[in-house]
Amino acid sequence: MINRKITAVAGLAAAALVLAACGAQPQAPSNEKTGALTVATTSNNQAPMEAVIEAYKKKSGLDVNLTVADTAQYQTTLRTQLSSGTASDVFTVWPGSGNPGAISILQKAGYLADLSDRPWAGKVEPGTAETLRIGGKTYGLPSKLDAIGAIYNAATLKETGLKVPATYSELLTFCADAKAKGKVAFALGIQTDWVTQLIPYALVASTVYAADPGFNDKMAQNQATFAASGWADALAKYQEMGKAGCFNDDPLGTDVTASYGLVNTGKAIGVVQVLASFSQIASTAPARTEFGFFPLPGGDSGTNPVPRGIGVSFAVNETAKNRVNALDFVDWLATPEAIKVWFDAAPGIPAIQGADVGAEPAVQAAIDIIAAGHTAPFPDSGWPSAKVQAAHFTGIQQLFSGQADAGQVLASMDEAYSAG
Amino acid sequence: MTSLTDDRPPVTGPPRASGGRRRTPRGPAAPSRRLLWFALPALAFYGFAVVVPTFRGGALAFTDWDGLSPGYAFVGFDNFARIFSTASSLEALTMTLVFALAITVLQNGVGLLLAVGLHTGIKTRNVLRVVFFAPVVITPVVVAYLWKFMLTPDGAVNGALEAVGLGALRQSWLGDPTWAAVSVVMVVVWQHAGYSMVIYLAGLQSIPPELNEAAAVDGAGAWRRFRSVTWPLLATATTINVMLTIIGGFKMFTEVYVLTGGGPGGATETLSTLLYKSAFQFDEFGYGIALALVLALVVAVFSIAQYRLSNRKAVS
Repeated sequence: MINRKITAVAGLAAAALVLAACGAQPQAPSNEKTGALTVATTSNNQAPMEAVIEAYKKKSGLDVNLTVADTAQYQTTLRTQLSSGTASDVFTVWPGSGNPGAISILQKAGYLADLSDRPWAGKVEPGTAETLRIGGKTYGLPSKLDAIGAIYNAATLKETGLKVPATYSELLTFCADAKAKGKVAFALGIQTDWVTQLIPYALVASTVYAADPGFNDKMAQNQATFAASGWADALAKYQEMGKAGCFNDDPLGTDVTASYGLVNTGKAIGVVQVLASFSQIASTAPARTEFGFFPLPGGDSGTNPVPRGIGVSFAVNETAKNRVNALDFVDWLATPEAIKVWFDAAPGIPAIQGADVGAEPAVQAAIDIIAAGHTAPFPDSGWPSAKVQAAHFTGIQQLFSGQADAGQVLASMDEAYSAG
Repeated sequence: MTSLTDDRPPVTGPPRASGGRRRTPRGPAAPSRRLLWFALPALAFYGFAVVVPTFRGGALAFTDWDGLSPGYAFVGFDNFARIFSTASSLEALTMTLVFALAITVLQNGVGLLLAVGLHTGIKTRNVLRVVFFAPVVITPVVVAYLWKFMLTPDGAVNGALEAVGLGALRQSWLGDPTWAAVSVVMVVVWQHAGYSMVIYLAGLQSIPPELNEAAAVDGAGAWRRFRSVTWPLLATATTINVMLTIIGGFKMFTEVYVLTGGGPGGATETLSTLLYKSAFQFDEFGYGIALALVLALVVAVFSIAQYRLSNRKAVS
């Protein structure tokens, strides 16, 4: 009897193992036309994605299902869904390999469809198209460009009578003057881990990439390190800004939403953020609040580059049941009609050349800086894994809480980079 | 208790071949093996849904699987060696032990105080029991978000301190490494002390009042009655409570993840948050599973040790 039971349990175990093993393999692509489509994106893209999906439903008659989650949850869920064969047909991805939803990581496992032959592939803005290519093949449609700089409340700036700083020295004076007038120059909410990276990214655009645009390549070839580069200068300036009173009290106890509140209530003049957050900041501001944008000066040259990258991009699931619809939807997202719907719902900079959209003053300021060529890459687009980013997040929090100094932070980032 | 099969004749089957073992008469407590067949569908489902995935997942601790690719390689005990040689995982292990210890002591202390306080004749005792138990029924993630909001620099906690003239006690509750850890413990205790209270209350209500009355007649004061009569008779409730809080303290994830995300600067990182990050953010599923197995082992060791200790104490 016991033997028979053991046999039965062993049989079940074997069956389960076989089934589980089947689930781990990417399935073959489907080319059959269906009546449905599933899309997944992050919550900061919810409003424009809902708008384009509504328009696409009317056009195609398909049953489109949208899933939305916060970035951190989205990235982890996407990985689990891909490996279990339940991911959406179209989903948001990131360039490089610096986070769990980056295309290099997902493509290596065979989950992304090759989009090189799609009609929009040649229309992507130069300098952006390459970041979504691997081995010469395109794996994502970049929808929106992004930039990091200071998004400020124009009325608060006017109230203080201060002028936008053009150099790093002026920036320190700007902070002191703002403080003297009872305002915080820059709201900082680094309790939210991803916010920790924004000011260093904005500063290294001047302290690293202005003098050495090929820094990422040198890092990849082990010819440079964070510790022995302009990163050290950037972290020193980050700390100096803190001491100069540039930030609100207790930035480690303040989260990103609270930092937006400081700007919208006029307690802070601005916040150093990705432009992608502009619509979220504006959505909680009082009606008719006007915003502006300026690059965060990292040096005294008077020319201040901004880190420029991709705001949001979309990939097609290689194993999607509705693969035909997914490709059609992504193609449609690159049409002038869809671009207009998207950017009417959320102002931003289109990544497809020739798109004509109206721009808010803050967005227009960023467009002008990018058009003038004063840009630097997002540093993490060249990092080998999400561990470098995590070391950066943890390190900045340790820097502000006195658990580590700048040298230790950069050493931990170098260690994570070497580990790959 | 006697079995339903006690008086039945031995189950007869086909004649056994010579030399086969004879079925020995079963004792009064032995269950019928035939009844086990009725449990087979449930056992099969349990095996398929729990046992097989657990062992299969556990086996991944010995691989370098990234959680995404179809292939992986066996790396032996490398992942376990890394746990005990990496500063971040050792710090997370230490923090897990600190949280479990602090939560066990505080939650049981507060739960016991509440139970003793409400095991009296005060008129509002039923209302107060509901009030103190209410946080238990709220989803932990909701509780954590509410407290996160209240513990911001300009939040309700600092505001209340300011309002009552205790502005000097304002803290960076979630921004300072030490206070962040304290805040996590306080939120957990705030939510779950009511649960411990209910178990202690049940224990108190099962103590015959005559024992305390007799002790009082003998001249024992309130503390003496509690120490020598009530506390020893609460041994079962204490064992259950301590066991539950130890396990809950070690497994704690939601509160840390929502309140601090393991920060600031990794100061409140626990094995649970570290394994989540390793498995789902850093492409190190094998290492994440190894952390999970170590956590399971730590929970098992502490639970068994605590159970045996409590049992020995109860027997003595």
